[in-house]
Amino acid sequence: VRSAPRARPRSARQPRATPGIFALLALLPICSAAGEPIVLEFGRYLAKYPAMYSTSAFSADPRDSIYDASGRSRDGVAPTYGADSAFPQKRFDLQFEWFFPFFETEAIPLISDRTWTARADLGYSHLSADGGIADYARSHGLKESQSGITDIALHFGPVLYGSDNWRERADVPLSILLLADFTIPIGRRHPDAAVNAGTNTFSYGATLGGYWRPIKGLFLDAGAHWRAFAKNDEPAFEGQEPSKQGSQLSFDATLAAKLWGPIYASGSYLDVRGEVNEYSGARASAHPPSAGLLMETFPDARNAKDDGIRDRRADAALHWFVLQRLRLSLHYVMPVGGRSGEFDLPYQQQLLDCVALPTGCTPTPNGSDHVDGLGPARVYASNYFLLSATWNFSQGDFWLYGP
Amino acid sequence: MSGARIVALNSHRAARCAAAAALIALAFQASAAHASILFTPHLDEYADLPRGSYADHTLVFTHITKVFDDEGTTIPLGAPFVGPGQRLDAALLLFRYLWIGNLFENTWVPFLNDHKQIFRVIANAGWQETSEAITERSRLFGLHTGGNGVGDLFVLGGLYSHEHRLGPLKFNGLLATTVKIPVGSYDTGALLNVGSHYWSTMPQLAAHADLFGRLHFDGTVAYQFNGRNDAPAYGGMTPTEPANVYNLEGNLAWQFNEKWFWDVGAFFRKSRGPNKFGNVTATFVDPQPATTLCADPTGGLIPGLSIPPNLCSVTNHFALIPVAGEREDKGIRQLYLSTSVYYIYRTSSVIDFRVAYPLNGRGSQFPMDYDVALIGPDGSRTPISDCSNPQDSACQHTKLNGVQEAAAVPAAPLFELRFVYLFWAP
Repeated sequence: VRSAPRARPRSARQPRATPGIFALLALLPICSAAGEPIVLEFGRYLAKYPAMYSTSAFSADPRDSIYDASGRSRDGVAPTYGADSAFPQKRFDLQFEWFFPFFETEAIPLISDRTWTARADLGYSHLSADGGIADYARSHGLKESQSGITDIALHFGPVLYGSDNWRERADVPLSILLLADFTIPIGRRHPDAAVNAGTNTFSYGATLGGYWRPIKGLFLDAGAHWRAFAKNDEPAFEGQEPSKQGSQLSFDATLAAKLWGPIYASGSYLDVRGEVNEYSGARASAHPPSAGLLMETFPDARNAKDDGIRDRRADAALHWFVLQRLRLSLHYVMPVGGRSGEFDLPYQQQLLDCVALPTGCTPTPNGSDHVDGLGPARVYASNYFLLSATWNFSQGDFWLYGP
Repeated sequence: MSGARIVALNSHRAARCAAAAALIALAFQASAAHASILFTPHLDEYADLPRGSYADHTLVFTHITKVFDDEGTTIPLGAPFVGPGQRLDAALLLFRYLWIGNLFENTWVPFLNDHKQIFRVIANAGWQETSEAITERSRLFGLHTGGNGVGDLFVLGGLYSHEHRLGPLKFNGLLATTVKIPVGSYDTGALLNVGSHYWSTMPQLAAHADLFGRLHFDGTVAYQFNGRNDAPAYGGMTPTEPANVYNLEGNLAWQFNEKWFWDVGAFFRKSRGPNKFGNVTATFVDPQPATTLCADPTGGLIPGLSIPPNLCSVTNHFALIPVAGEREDKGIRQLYLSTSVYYIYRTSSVIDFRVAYPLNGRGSQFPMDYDVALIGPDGSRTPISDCSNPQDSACQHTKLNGVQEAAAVPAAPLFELRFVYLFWAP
């Protein structure tokens, strides 16, 4: 890059006389894979009869606490900015799901003799930021939050088992699905915002999921997911969200049972493990170290990494089949453990305006500052309700009774 | 890039794929990827389709590493302000609804009562981001790069001619107008925006013909009227007066059987006159040290700037002050050759892979003047140049790149993978 000899813009430097000037900057969660409400509906891995299905979900999560890097629940979402910070979110999600035969008339081995599924997940997130981190954003010309549409995820894959006789509408109590997916980061965001609806990061992954109905009225769904992320070339809020998110491995399971008539109950568990996140774009932190006399200090984020994340949550839900083709569900989501990404951001210092001196600059280490990784590095510890509705667009039976 | 079109099968002639009246294609342009209007060739784009409602979704990707400069030369993206190897990636999702029918059937309204009408609404959402070096450089100006969110809304209304037959030849015409409503996400500080922030209106005349049901021709002529943008983005490097644009498109397709098609086409667009940049404010957020501007006058932060040596020793810090006034580029031009393979599955699914290769083009660049000021210890600025005087040696002259859809022209091949699925088809 053809740029000035000085390594960083003045706005990223920390004058000696203003130690705390970045006092609240370091943690912003962006709606992330670790923080998004996930609808754990039972029957999600069932090989459904070819048709279009739609699930919509609304949730209101106060997001006023997190799990820190040691796994402790902490008040506030960005403790380095104070314990009172929060990123409340009201979110509407919409999922379209299709089951269909694919190249059925071509008689292609392994392709034509089964049904396939495609899915699209999109949504809208209304966000705000409260407390210390919001105060910091306001006082430093940054943006508190950016609401808007969320990223869109597209899934596609075969029913590995359980759809061979779909035309006969055979009742198959066991099915296995394999899905490849990728996320397109169309979600609205602002690079200065503390919390954003979009992630600015492509991701791709795969899911292997199974559904089993061992006896009438009892249902088990279980799935494993792997996901990798592309680089984020413009991490938000002074680069305090990861520039490269670590890959994730997750597991989910739901056990559901019929209670009475059209009423069902379910219990679910979700466990997400994320590898190390990188923060090469970090340009500031909440409490940067003071610089020496006639010196200026600035972060050196070349090797900044956290230890990864963990997000474990339980979900209890009641389901009501209002109509043959309509299901309403009320979920209560309870985080049961986790770990957010945090890291120490090294600082360097050099002579003020040394770039103009003939001798040039020789930065020297100047300690570090602890940073709460934002965006996908935040793992929230707040409970919330989620209301969802699923609609079967076809004229056939509801999927619950099998393909 | 992606066509805004629908594909359907004519059940009476299973061989025919009717890629419906796309009329416009939303595409990404140049160094500021953007949902914009491009007429890209597609199979049966203007064919007279059966009445009914159609809906489809399309996903488009692009990866731009080169653009055309104002002389028509291919240059690396971002040159000369950042080094080579930069990229711009973008994705666009189109959500389209099309209705074909006759609102005036069985009425007294002449002409309309026996000609089918077409109405289309296109919504889109997108993502665009540049490589890190461009983002870092933008930060020096207090600007940023990425753009995400919901794009502008496109609405179209049109009128089909009757279908005519001359032996094995069958043909029809189409008259339509597209209006772009600038409701998309738009940030004046961003290099890339999903919304354009100005209105466009585009009448067009199109024709479709097929011979023996095997050889298909589609073509159109259109003129795009662009409105003003009084809030230009990225420091004023988007035009305040985007030029109007001519559009030409032609496509020939061959049908091998009822499932496979191949086409070759070209599209051309050229602005009528220059884009005008009336509010250029881009400059450095921080004072620039003398070493920055003096040590490398041809390769510094703004290539072309040359602070006189006697001034370089006066102070450590300079400010560059944009000189007010309206600038003009030389207009833009773009010619692409395009080819595509289609696979039609049943009556509802189409897979289409397209490559479009730029034959030539001309992007937007415009001259810009900066006054130079010395910055005192108290932050005061003392101008040491006078750009109003053409002889002033301290006044800095440079050339800036116009950005976003009205100005930038990519010089990279475009790749399009479309999966069209008809939710409703007659």
